[in-house]
Amino acid sequence: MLNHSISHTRAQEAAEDVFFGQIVIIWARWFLIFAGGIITLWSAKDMLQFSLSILTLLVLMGMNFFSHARYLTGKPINKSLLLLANLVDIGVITVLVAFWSDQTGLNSNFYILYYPVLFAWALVFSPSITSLFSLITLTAYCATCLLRTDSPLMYSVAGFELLCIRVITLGAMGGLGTYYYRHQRDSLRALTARSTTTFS
Amino acid sequence: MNTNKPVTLNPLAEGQMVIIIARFVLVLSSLFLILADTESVSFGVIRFEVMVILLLALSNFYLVAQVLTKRKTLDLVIYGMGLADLVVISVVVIIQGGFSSNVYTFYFPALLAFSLAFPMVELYLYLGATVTLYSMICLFTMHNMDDLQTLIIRVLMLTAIAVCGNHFAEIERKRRNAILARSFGTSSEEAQIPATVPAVPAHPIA
Repeated sequence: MLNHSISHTRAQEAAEDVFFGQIVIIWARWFLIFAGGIITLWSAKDMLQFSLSILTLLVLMGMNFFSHARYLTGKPINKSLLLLANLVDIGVITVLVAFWSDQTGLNSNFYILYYPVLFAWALVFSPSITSLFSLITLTAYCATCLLRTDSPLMYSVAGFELLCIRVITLGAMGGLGTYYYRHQRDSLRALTARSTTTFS
Repeated sequence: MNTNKPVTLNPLAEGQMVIIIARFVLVLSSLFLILADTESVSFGVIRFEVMVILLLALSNFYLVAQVLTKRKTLDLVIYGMGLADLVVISVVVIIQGGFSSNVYTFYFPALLAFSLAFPMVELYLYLGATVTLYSMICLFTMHNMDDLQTLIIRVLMLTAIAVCGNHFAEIERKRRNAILARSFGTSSEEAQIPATVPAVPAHPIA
């Protein structure tokens, strides 16, 4: 009975974290969409590329509008849906890094779009999910760099250094966000326990 | 003394540990990167960079000591260190060629830490200073209009980090105030968000 009660509290706590935190993910995605709009309007080279980008942006906007509307009406969206939406974000950014313009892989400047997504994720989800997500993101980015960068740069000291700076700072986004998340959870739990003790 | 009285929490003190970890990330990774590539940079530049990094590490040890001894660090000291980080990263960016330098990515962990620790006004002042300084550096060192697009995206992402972090810290503050208000009967105006969410169903929408 007690175990059931504790697990219920933890489940409720996790649901509250997602509910309150999802607005951060939503804002991060609005920034991503805005950046995507600038990239498309500024540097799309032909009509096909332009149309595909606009379609992708419309899908992202639709997803985000749906999430934002649910948040504003006080109805949280499914955690799995939120996870899936974030994976779509990562997929879109990775495609940009791999294929957009002549500068791909390590030469692409679009890797910075990963930063707010990783950070927002770390603030909302539990450390285990965040670690897995960060690992997927970093693996996707490193694989893209290995496959889509010219060999002379990729296998040089400069290339290694470049990749290191990016991986370290991207990892720091997840790590620091998780640290703050854990700190806040401990703080809230302590406060709840204190208030329960005071009034029992 | 009434121990049940709710305490006012200082966001700077709460986020201090995040600032410390972010700075250690900066210090350790910078040292690693400098030592990984000693051939393409002159010895004088390496010496200067290492000296600056060691100074940063020393000032960070001061912050750690304050946390360990549970002493309150002066707000002014934390703001000063934030400015020092901004200056150090910007100087390294300038040394490495401005727009083409990749060291600007260290602005991200620094901004992340300050977005969680600084109050809103101070954070946006800091963000404004960072974005202005970095944009000035880049505008003088960029080559074409494509670089301008990249600069806009970089600035946008820096802003995204600050907005998201600050928003989250604000939400957490309100959640805590709501618990305090419920438990101790404070009439805090900030306690607008309920501590528990009645709208969270067991199985939200599919």
